[in-house]
Formats: sequence, C-alpha cells, structure tokens
Amino acid sequence: MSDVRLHTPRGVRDLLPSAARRKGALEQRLASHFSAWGYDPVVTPTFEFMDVFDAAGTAPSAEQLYRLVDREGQVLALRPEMTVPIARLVASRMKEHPAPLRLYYIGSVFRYDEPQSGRLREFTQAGLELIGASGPAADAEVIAVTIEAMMALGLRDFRVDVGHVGFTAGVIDSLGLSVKAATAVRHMLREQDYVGLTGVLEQSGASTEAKETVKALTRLRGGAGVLDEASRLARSEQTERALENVSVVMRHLEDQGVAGWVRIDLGMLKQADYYTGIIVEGYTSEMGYGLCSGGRYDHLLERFGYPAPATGLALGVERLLLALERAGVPNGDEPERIFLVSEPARHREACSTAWRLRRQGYVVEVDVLGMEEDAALAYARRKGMHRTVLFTGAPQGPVELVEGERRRHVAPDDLFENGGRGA
Amino acid sequence: MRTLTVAVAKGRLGEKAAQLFGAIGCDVTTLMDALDGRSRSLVVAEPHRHLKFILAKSMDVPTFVEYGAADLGIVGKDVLMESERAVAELADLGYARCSFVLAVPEGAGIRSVEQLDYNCRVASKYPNVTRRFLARHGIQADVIPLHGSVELGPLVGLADAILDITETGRTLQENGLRAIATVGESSARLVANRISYKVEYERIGAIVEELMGHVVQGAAAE
Repeated sequence: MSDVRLHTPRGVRDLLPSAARRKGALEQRLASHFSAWGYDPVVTPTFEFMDVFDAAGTAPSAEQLYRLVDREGQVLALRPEMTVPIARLVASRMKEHPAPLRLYYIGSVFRYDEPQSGRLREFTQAGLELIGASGPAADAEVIAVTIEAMMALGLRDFRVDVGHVGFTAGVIDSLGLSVKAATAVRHMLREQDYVGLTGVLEQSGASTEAKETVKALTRLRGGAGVLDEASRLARSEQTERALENVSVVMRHLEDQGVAGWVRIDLGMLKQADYYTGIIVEGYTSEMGYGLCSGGRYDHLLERFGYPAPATGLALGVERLLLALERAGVPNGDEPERIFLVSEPARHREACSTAWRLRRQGYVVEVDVLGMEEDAALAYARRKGMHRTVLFTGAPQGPVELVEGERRRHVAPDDLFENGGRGA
Repeated sequence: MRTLTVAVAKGRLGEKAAQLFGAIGCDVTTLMDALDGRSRSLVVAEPHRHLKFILAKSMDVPTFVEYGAADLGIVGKDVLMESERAVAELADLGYARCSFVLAVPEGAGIRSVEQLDYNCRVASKYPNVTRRFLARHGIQADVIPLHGSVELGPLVGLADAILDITETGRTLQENGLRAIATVGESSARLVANRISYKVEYERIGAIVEELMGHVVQGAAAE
C-alpha cells in the first residue's frame, strides 16, 4: 500500500461519472438557455491579483479568500465570485464592443467558508452580466432569464425576491442615527439579527418613530401592495426613486411573463457592497440556502476605469442540482448505450458500425479487452448498456443482438434501423 | 400546508419552549413526555398547527436551523454566539437569562481585563466567543476548550481565567472566582432558517407574534 494520501482537503470533492454527467448536462442546458437570450460566454482566469478583489469591495470578506503568493512575491487570490473578474475584463478589453454587453459564465469559485449543503469551498457559479444598460428593463431581463432557466431545468417550487439597496439606505439615512448606529443597523439587517437590531436602536437613542420605521422595513415583503406601504414609510427623494424603480421592474417582469415567481422584499440587504439598485435572491422551499443571487452594480466597472452601469445574477450550480434532486425532477433524457464486442476477424466491421451508430446519436463502446461472451454480457449489465452486439461468426454475416434476456441474430445493416433495435 | 419543523434543546430551555408553544395553542403533551424522558422519541408531531418538534442538543440547534433541517429553533444566545451559524434571529423569548463573564481567582489580584497577563490561559466551554473577546482586547491568550466544570480550571492550575455563563454568580463565588468583565448577555432566542423565513414568512411571523404576546405577559407577571 502506498503512503500517498487518498483523501482530499476539506471543502472540495470529486465527482464520479454519474454526478459529473448530471452536472455537465445541467451546465450545458444553462449555457444554451443563456445563449438563446443572446448572452455570450466569457472565461476569466481562476486566480487574479488580490488588488482586483480589494478594489471592488467584493462579496466575501478578506478572510474568505484563498490567497497565494507567486514567486515574484505578488499576492494573488482564487476568484471568490465572477462578477468582479468580468468587470475587470470588460473595463480592460471589451470597451469597444457595442453596448449593451450580454455575457454569461460558468465556472468554479473558491471561498474559505464553513462548507454548507450545496456549497463547498470550491463551487460552481453560472451567471449572466448585462453591462452598459441602466434601465429597469435590463434588471427585469436578467431576472427573467434566471427564472426561465430554473423553469427549463424543471424546478417549479421556487421564488425570487426583489429588493432595492437605495430604498433600504434611504430609510436608514432618514432616521437621523449616528454613523456608527446606522452601520450597526445595516449590519443587523444584513445578518437578520432582529433582536440585535432592537438592541442597537434602543442604545442609539433613536426616536420611537425611527424604531417603528426600521421594524416596518423588515416587514415590507409581498406583492405589489408592499410598494404602497413602503411609500408611506419613505420620505426622501432617494426612497421615492428606488420604489419607482422597483415598480417599473415589476411591470417589466409582468411583460416577460414571470411576475408570478417574483416577490418584493424591501428589508433585504447584501453582503457585497458594490450593489447600487435592485437586488435579487432566489430560493426554493426544498432547501435552506439560496439558489441565485445578484443585482445592479452601477459603479463597479468605474473602479476599473470604465464607468458603465451593469446588472447581473449568478446561480449556484451544485445547489440547483440538489434542489432538482430534492424536488424529484428526473434527469434529462440520456442517450441509449450500446456495447460492441467482436472477434479479431470482425473488428474492422465493429469499428465502422460503432462510428455509424455514434453519428446517429448513440453512446457506443467497443470492447478493448478481447472479452469472452460471458464477460462481455456481465460488463454490459453492470454498465447499464441498453444493447450488446456480438460480432461473431463469418465476416459480413449476421451479428447477435442482446437486449436484456432477448437474443437474436440480425444483419449488421439492420442495426441502423428502428433506433438500433434492428429491423 | 407544509409542516414546520422546530428544533428545541433538551433540558430546561426546551421545557420552557414547550410551555410557550403550549400557551399559543399547540398540543405539547407528547413533546413534554419526550423532553422529560418519559418517551425516547426525538421527533414529535404537533397536529394543530402543522408543526413538528425535533429534540436536539442545544449546541446543535443552530446547525439544524442553518441547514434547513429545522425551520425554527429555540436556543440560548450563548450557543448562537459560539456556533457562528447564519440564522435569522427573530425574537428574544426573555427566559434563561444569564451573562457571559470573564472570571479570575479572587486571590489573583486582577480587577480588569487589561491586567491579565498578555499570554495567559483561559478555559471555556465557548472557545470561539473567548477568542473573539480576547482578540478585541489585544490579549494573545491560550484558549483551553472544556466541556463542563470550567470553574475547575483555575483551581487546579489548568487556566488563569475562565469565560463562562452565570445567572447569579453563586457558582463562581463558591469556587473562589470573581467576574472581572461582562462579555455579553444571553437569553433564549427564537431563530429561523433564512430561507424558511422567506418561504413561510406569514406563518412564522404569526407564530413570533403569538409567542411574544405570552413572553410579554409572562414578564409582566414576574
């Protein structure tokens, strides 16, 4: 026994073929769905200069970053998310492309977190960024693409909450709290520590009215009616503008036919501090963690020297897989698998038959071990082959087709008829 | 209607929780039986309000809730602070009040945190809380995690100080210890899984309101 370590570090894992196939299929479906809306793929490096994430005020905190030092002593970081690298990419390399830019990505991100269900320290995000469009139609579009993606995957029981950082900020600003108290209020809202929130407000000497306002803020959830309630709570130009923005986005979502999945939550706040407008979180009752997250970030590209408004959303691929499994959504159709075994004299025939069957869309394996019939059938059973074809006997003569318990001789050309089942 | 799962800690904290849920019209007889050991089931159905109680160790309640294995949980703030789990903290249920204190032997001549040796040893059942507190005060202590009888630490020379919860300070006193700093206040809290709180916002909100109605009444009666 060798002394090589066979286990992996905490927070990462291997995917065996069935899981890797499921994940790959899901990523392909997401990619073609995003493409259908006109989004183009981009790929960014797995690691970047640490400064890139520092400059951006990226979502995970510094201690959640995997940092490394290269041989020149420069500090690098594994990407903890994709929005910041794409902002950097666009600001440096895609300024000349016609606006708006519709980009999507699917890739691993890394966070030094406690592993959670459906989110290890390395996990996969699939997402889109719509850059160079400031209007509510753009926000609604990325939300609609995401909702349709989840539906296309077969999820039904999910919801997407829409909030607005401008509204929350405006309400907190209007309370007349000290900077310290206001920061604490934001922190408590973000952490959803409503007991701590009450404590902060008591200590801050906030007016009774201010306390009631914050309490009301945490309750602004539901349908369009919430906006009326919110406008009674809001007094500033900023909050009015934010509410108008949410209401127009909701109208656009109705136009897109996805408003039924959307709910308003105006007490929501995000970890990342680069959001400037609409913020979004999607979830399902099947799972205790969110499925997708995003929002508008109009000043992020500016930090890389290219002022442009932008909005985007990212889906957690492993979480989607888990949600689909828990919801009992069957895996997509898998192609039928065929196993070909031949005597040496008929090997060339088997190879050309395999080639033709693959062109018809079948998954075809040709034996490379020189298996005897019994071994071949046992292997086919264990691998879940739909059919096995034995090329025995005279060249160009009939072959034996085995389907479960059924065996019969067919002409080789008949294999291409009737979905590989023979004529 | 979806069944909401409520994680309650075994022990006194859970018994009070059961009383509170009983007060808002839940059938808690089976839960009570399970809590005081008359039955051994760890999962108890509550038909009236479509609830299901699960009995967990106090330290595990935040974990069940964070993962969504339980929608709601009742747990001490001390445990929440130690577990560092991401859950929504909905309400202070007002009972099981105690303080987190840093205590040293009476004879040590130490009266404030600043007087602690900068690399002293501190024993605690709450190593995460201890590390955070000491780091805030710039003390590079060795934190010694213990699972109980923390007061023993200074008595037998294992530690220079302890960080523990105390209700009245009597156990500290009886072991010759004196509190030199209060780290935080604890009481029973109602917590929710963040997604459950979104999905079942109305129902959970109603439960919080009713429970709090009884908490306030209880406080007034005391």
